[in-house]
Amino acid sequence: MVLSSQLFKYLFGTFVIGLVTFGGGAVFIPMFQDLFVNRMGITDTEFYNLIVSLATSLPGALGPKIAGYFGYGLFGWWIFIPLYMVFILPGVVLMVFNYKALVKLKDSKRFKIANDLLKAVIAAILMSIVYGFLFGNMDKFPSILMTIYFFAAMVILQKKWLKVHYLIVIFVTVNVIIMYLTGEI
Amino acid sequence: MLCGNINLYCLRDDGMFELFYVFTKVGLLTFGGGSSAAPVIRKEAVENKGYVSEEEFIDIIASANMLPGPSMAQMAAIIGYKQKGILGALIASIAIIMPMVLLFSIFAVFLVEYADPDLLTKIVEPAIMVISASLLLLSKDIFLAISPNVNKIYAALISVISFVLIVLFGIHPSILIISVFVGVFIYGSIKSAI
Repeated sequence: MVLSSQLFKYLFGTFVIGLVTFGGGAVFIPMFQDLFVNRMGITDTEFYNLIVSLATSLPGALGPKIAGYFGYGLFGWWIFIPLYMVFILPGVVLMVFNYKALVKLKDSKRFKIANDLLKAVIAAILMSIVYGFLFGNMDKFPSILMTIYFFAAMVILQKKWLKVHYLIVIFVTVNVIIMYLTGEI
Repeated sequence: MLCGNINLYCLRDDGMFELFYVFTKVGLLTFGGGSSAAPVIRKEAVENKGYVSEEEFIDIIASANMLPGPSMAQMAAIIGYKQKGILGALIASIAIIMPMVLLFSIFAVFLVEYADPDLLTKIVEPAIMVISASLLLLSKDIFLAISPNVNKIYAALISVISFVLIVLFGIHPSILIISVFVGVFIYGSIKSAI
């Protein structure tokens, strides 16, 4: 009985979060904190923050990883199927309907103007994500080494010398070696 | 078709495997979630595979930011939908999200016990720098793709104002995107009425 009530809270909670959260990424963090810490009471803030920092340091979609971890711990592997259905699928369905509507408008003059203005806004949105990555934690600015990585990545990607995934692997490997040599590991 | 000469086990590859592979790879290479996946999706699905054009991809980023839901899955879904219809949307959205959710859920159990999250953050920080650099380059390319019909100075002004509103005033990007649509359609209606 307790489990089924927790299951309902989990599925309904993730469904609502999926429907009211725009954009994804870090915006999910406080929403899931409210669900798992306050509403379901399955963890405390300290442990939740630990999971968030692990999820942030590892690749993949942030919100689904956090929801998946707690769901897996509570109910087992089968939870991934309903999790996809309540959390991911509604947004996907909305996106497909929206796409079908946009295709009809595509040739209108107004849409073309809106599309150009949107590009200016999208460029700003992406820059704001970069700002969040670099200066989001105002107490701790990127170190000199990270600044070097950033500018080196800018040059390498601009010149198309290497693809993103190779660059990630090389930089992380170099970083591990540097951390080992400086005694941080 | 991966059939070979002997037609015993004919694995028919109609693009679904490739779609699954491409988006699983994207999921594996993305840090931070949300729109930070955009440069990796662009590299893999737009530049390498040519699933959608650059122009369409910008519309996809806008739609994903405008609608509620996890935008990584939404961007993948619409590219999958364009390739293989509804099934393609499902495959792409599952591929970009679920393998990493599964891996994280299993490995996090061990990481919680043995790993130091601060150390892990330090180790992967260069990956965040690479993603930041690719986001900045994508941002530049999107800005340069604005058609000559729009004055570049006005466009730059819109970008700067949008950036300030998001970063300093905490305005949600979806509000800005919806405002552009509403603004253009109201302006167009008033203009045509006059």
